[in-house]
Amino acid sequence: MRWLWLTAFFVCIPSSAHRLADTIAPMDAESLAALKKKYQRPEAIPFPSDNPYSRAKEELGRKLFFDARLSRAGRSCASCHDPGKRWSDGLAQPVGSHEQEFPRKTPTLLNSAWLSALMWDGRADTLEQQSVMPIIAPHEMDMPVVQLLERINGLEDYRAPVTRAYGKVETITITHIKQALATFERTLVSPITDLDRWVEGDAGALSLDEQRGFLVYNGRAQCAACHSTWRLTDDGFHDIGLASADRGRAAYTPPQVVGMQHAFKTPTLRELNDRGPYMHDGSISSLADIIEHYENGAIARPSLSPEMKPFTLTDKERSDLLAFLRALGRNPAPGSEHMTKGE
Amino acid sequence: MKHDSNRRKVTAIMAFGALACAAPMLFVSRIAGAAAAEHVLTLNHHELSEPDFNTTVGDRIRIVNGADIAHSIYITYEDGRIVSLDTQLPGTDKTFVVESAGTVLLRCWIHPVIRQALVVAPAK
Repeated sequence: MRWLWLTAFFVCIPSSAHRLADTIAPMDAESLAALKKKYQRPEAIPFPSDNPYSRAKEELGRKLFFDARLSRAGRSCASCHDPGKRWSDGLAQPVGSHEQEFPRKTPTLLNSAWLSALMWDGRADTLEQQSVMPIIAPHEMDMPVVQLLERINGLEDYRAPVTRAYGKVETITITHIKQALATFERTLVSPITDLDRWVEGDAGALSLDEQRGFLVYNGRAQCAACHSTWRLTDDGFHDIGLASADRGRAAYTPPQVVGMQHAFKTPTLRELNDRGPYMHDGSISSLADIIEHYENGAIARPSLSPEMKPFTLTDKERSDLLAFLRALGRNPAPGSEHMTKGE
Repeated sequence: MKHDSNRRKVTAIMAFGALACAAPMLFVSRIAGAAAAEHVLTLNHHELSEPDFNTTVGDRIRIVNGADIAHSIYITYEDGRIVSLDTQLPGTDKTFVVESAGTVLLRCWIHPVIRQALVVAPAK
């Protein structure tokens, strides 16, 4: 009888061990469900009450966005925000109107509708405010407002779309341009990927390694302290201890706000590619190097974000986190970026 | 005997004077005590709780960081003056005294999504 019990005991060990290997972590189902809920996509795109959505405004904005005639440098918004490159340019350092290199990467326009501050240094509060900044900037599209309005009012092919969007108007104003561009940009939304499918209940959408990586992301590595919500960003400003001399947000905040020195807006990690370059200055070229930076590479200085707490991952945790990060842009569903437009 | 009588008179006059001076001060201090209320607003991740109180100039506002991340609240008065409360770690409090009436905007340097308005009444 004793042998029978012992045999049963040893037969059970492998199956128990197998089951343990198939679970993702020391987290109960309820806690995991609550955590996943924080990453659920919204159902509709928000539009401000002073610039509500209309299809005609979206169409006018699209036309403006791709029109290089609105530049003295032969460029359009799409020259840097290329739809084929996740509405960015894929460069470590963008090239300006006179072939000069910029110190900051081109951010994606995806999910701009939810932003509470725009540009790497947050100098624009709304998409309307931001939308013409690159058009008039000499190093970007290099088109002063007066000349912009003169040119667009002389273009016959703008008459009909402007009338559809705003009714009969005497002249096209900068407000028309800002509102239409902002409306179009608000419609640019990340497609549904495997992360969204897993969050919504498709247990097989992420591998077990990737699921463990999700827990490392939210746990020991503390990525979610800043890369939170379904957009994987808090829209916050943090000094993450990079060597760049660029003072970022500090150019727009009082000097006594020490924490804004070298602080830049948290970029979204959605559609994260595996090729880099990464960070606001394109200074890190691989995801593995990014993890290493957060583990022990940050420069200690008074402005360093309090969320930059030191941590050390095991090799397994590191590889799981890497697997999760690599899965973030996987299997985008065609057409799923078309979200309901409204509050 | 006459000397003692004068001393009692002087003492009585001084006591009366002291009372006369102290009474208005006590009155003023009671008013000030009543006006300078303390209110609490709580930070919860990326939200600052909505005020459920009336605010008057001189009131103290205590910001409680109930989130697990740091914040850095600043106050903007209608005349453009900005008061920064500096970095506020999780589980800590920061307090400020409301300096002037009107709509006072509370925002976070780190997280611009955080914004809350206080409508402040003038001091009585």
